[in-house]
Amino acid sequence: MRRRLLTLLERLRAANELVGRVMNDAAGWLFVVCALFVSFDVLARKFLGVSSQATVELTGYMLAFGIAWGLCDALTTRAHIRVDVIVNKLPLALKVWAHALALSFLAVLAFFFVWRAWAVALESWEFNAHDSSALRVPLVVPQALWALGITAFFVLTVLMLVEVVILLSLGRRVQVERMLGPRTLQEEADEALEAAGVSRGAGS
Amino acid sequence: MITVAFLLVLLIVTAVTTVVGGGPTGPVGALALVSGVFILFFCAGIYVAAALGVLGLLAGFALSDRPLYLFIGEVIWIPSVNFVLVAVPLFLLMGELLLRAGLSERLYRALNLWFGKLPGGLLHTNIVSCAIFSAIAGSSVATAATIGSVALPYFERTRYSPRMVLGSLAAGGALGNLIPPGITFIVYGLITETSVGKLYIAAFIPGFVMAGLFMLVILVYALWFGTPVVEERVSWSARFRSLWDLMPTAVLILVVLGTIYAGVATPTEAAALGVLGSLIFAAFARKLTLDVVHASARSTARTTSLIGLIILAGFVLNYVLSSLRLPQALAGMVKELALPAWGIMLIIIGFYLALGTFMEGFSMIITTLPVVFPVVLALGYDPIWFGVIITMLIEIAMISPPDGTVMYVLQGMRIRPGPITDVFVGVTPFVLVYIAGVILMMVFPDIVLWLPRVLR
Repeated sequence: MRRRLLTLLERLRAANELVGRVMNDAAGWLFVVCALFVSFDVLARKFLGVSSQATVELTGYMLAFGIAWGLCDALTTRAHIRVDVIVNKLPLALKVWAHALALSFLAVLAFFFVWRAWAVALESWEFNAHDSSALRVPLVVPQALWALGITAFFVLTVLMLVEVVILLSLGRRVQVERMLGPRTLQEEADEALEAAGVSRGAGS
Repeated sequence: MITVAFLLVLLIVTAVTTVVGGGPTGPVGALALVSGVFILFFCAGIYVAAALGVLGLLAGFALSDRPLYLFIGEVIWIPSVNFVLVAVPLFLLMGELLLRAGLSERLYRALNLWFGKLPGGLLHTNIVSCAIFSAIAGSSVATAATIGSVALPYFERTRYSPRMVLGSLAAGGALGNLIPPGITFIVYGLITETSVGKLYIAAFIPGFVMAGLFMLVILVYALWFGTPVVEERVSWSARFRSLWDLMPTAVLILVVLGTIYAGVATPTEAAALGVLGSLIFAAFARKLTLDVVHASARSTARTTSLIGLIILAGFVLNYVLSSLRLPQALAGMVKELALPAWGIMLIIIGFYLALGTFMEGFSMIITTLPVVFPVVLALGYDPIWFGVIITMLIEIAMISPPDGTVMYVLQGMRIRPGPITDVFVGVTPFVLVYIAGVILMMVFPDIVLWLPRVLR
């Protein structure tokens, strides 16, 4: 029974992680668009004397979107920051419980964020609120997209938490460690090297 | 070890001052409770964002009879759409693009023609190229990775001490955030409502003072122990021809810093122009592929999210604490203390140095600033000055053994393998000089404050 549930959960989580990766890519490309948009706006203002009159608002929405939509992938890639000096020194049997505790705290925070984020979006919808930019964007649009990103993050934390609890009850500690164990400094360093390596490899 | 020793000192100071100045009052007791729970969360390895946010919620439930949690939505929406904060992903994106575009290769080669002849030779080139690269990139890890990837192969055929090579590169990397534009200043500006442009102006001189001090360390080292001398003669015409290779970097610096300093663009706009410039540069270098942009975009989004989550959770805690008027109460109490202002500032600096040995920079300022900043203001210190000091402290955290990302990046790049302790030993003189630099700015605050005053 637990095993079957576990398989189901693993599939659900894999799906959620895939969605998270796509969301993260969307967030990343939106930042590229954001940079081009702001550049265009600055140059147009200086040289053509025109401006979108909504740069501050629109780029702000892009940031909110970007932060929210990248949350899942950061969790999957274990990028969210923990202070792990002590945890790393614990024996595996204790360490996995620390991981579970950390994840449950994250789920609690995500729950409050989701709940109140939707409340903000709903309120904007009810009062038909618009921003004060030239475009008069209905606030519910960026707020709902933002809340959607946080929702995906919340769902992922819950799925992972249930999975961790089942794994712990089955005594599969190594799997928990692989899922939630903090990234070592070595892994972080490798990532920076990989990025630098792209240029080195292609350059010579 | 430093941490434990420091906490002991802090405990004694607190005990003495409470005895001298009367027992702790209500809000201070509450703040002590909050800090205690927080330390507990940290030791348990809770995610920094979750620790901040849940602590905020708990404090709200326990210490206030108003339903503070109902306001979380607005509290986290406001920083989410902050235009100043938009600069963070843009500077990150710029750094990621430059890292992949191979700008550093030409920069390093050209600078070496100019600095290779000084006693200490290539080691000076390390510092100078890091300093110059810092003037376009906003992150220490990006600076160390970019320059390190070019510099380390250069040292392959030389007899330079690997410790000194790695140490100087780590020190140079730790200029990444201090020399404008840096991401730390944006986050500091956001939390403390200080002008990021002014912070960038203020950090200009300290950044180059630090680079100069690092070169002094190398000079002293070279005169004392001797370093390999470059035999080949470099003609002045070759030197001047090399300046052409510095052009792309110079143009990018002009685009990013020039526009901020001239008051033409806000930091966010300058960052956007910097991204555009990096894209154009990558195109010229024939490195502008879909893969490069995609990898940069993906990495930018991930880092922005993890910084963003901590900032949002930090705002929740900050909101609850200020609703309870705790930081103000603490600031009031510190003002009454029987210690001089500089004494308390020294304690604060010691606190950050200790924290920095095991905590990452962003988490460090977001967790502590809401409480520390009102205290600093109450002591009469300038917020711009403190922004520069705290950035220096974060940079020291990046290169203080045993836990600093910059050092592990360099260790991973070594061509001839060796123990990580090489990096630790090599970086130590630079860390000490960095700390001396902080003290220098404390004694002569005008090193920081002169330029913003003149340019006002």
